[in-house]
Amino acid sequence: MSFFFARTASSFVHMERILVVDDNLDVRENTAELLEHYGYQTLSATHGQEGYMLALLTLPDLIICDITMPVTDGLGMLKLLKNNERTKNIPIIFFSAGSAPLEVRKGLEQGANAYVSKPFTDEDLLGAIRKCLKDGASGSGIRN
Amino acid sequence: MEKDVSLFMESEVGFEAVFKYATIGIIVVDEHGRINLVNPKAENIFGYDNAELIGQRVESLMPQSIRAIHEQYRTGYFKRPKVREMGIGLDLHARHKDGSEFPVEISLGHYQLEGQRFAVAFVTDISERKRAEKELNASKERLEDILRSMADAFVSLDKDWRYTFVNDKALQLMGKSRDEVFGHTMWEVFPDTVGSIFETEYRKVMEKRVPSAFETHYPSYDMWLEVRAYPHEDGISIFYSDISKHKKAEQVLKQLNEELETRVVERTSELADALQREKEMNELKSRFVSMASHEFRTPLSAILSSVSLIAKYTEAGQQENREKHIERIKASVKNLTDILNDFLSLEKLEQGKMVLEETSFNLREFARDTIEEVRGMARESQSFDHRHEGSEKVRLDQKMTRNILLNLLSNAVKYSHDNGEIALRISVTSDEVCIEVEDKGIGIPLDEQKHMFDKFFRARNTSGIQGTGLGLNIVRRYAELMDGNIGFTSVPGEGTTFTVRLHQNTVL
Repeated sequence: MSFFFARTASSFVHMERILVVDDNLDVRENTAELLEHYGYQTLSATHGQEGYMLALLTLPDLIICDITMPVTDGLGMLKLLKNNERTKNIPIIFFSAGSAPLEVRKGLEQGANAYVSKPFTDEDLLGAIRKCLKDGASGSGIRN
Repeated sequence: MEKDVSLFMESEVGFEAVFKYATIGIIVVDEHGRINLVNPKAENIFGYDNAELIGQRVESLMPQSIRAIHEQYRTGYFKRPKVREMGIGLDLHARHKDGSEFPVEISLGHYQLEGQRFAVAFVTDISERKRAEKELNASKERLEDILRSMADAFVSLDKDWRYTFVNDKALQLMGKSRDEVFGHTMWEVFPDTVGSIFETEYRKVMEKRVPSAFETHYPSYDMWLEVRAYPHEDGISIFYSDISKHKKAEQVLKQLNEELETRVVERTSELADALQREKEMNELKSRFVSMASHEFRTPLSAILSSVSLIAKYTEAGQQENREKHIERIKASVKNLTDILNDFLSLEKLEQGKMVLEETSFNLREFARDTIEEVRGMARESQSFDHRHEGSEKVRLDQKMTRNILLNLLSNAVKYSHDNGEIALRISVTSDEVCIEVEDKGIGIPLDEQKHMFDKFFRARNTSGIQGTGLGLNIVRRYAELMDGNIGFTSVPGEGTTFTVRLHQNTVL
């Protein structure tokens, strides 16, 4: 597939797959790179449309996505994911740039599981991911 | 009269009554000039008893100076007597018993009795009347003196609008001689008052017999006059005061007041403008804070995660990874700096602090250096085509020129695809520098093109590309400060060409 690339880290036996959707190249690549360091398998997409298609194809364990993006934004992608039986249970973490608290609240109301404020530390990101994956495994969503 | 006197003589009773109680003195004189009869009034006038007068020559009742002449006159009179009525009498004087002389009015009648001729003199003492006349004249003269010497100009007109009195002050005011005015009508002397407020008001006074007062400017003399007109028996009296000085002072005061009011209005408007600017500035700042909090977080995220990753690449073979993240950090810091610089430029422009500093420099070299600067942020596959026409030396503000070039070139880089060529074409003529930056990038949506120079505006196809929405606004304002302008043509999906024209006075 030409519109996404996946990185793998072979040091873990059971690797959870995380989809990173962000239109900013640096943030997208750094986030993916960090997650791989922490033993996750990652996929990347540059906007909501790409992200949704990739999610349908690969059914990741978790999706991290930015809110403000071209073509289809974070809320648009969330709606697509929640409307599809195959993807509706994938936990979603929003990146919040701080300027759109309304969007974050909307996202949480519409089924996002958590949000992480930019700029974020490794701990912020990993904490949210672990919580979501654990809750997702036990079948209940979380509200951060 | 001759007949009347005869009748009196015929009726003794009538004669007695008239003679005795007459309020004028009656003296009957025979043709020798002797007093024959005197009534009580005549006795009283002259201060004699009846007995003292009877038989005396009538000349004894006259002043010494005219006695001789009177004798001749009397002789002539008796030769050809005639009636001389009162009122046409000469200005005669009589002599009182005490020697004093007093004015009298005398009329004469005559009659014959038993062959003798008699003259009857009817004498009225007119001392009182004369005194009254004299006093009247004196007071008239005094009045005229007063009017003459009055500070106000005064004229009197008769019912035919002729000048009957004009004081010196009035002549002075009119700038005319007495002869030019007296006996002439006002409309002859001052034809330009016909149809003016003067005529309207004077006619009112003349016809309705009411006073009038008004102030007016008399253009022929460029003079402000205060005019008071009063009706009098034979016409109207008019007083004029020259109030030009007063009016001028009044006008100066009025003008000062108006200027003051204007200044207050101006100052108020300045304050309102300052307040508005302050408000706009605050709005700008709050929009910046909101924009910056968003735009800052993305490069900050990149920096923070790159730092975190560098810390993880501890092995010797991972130098390439470390360098990648160091470059990423540098680029993000530059990004943050650019955002700040945009805002600082905008604030300077908003506060009018930008001052044009023209210097002469080589624009071709200057543009080449700027391209090199931009090349650092461009993708490797992007190329630049730099062309220069005309003189290389220009006289412009370097900082602003650099800012314009940097902004347009970095926009071209940001909004172009990989492999996209960016063209910078500069042409210099004696009075204009034209800069064209063309890219084959994403273009600007047609419906958003009109907003391209608005502060904070970003086209909808730019999300994911860092930017403040301030760059083009700043570029346009620099261009305007440099007496120039900016425009663009753009086709969405094909590319955009920005054209800046800057005015330059001389080529050195």
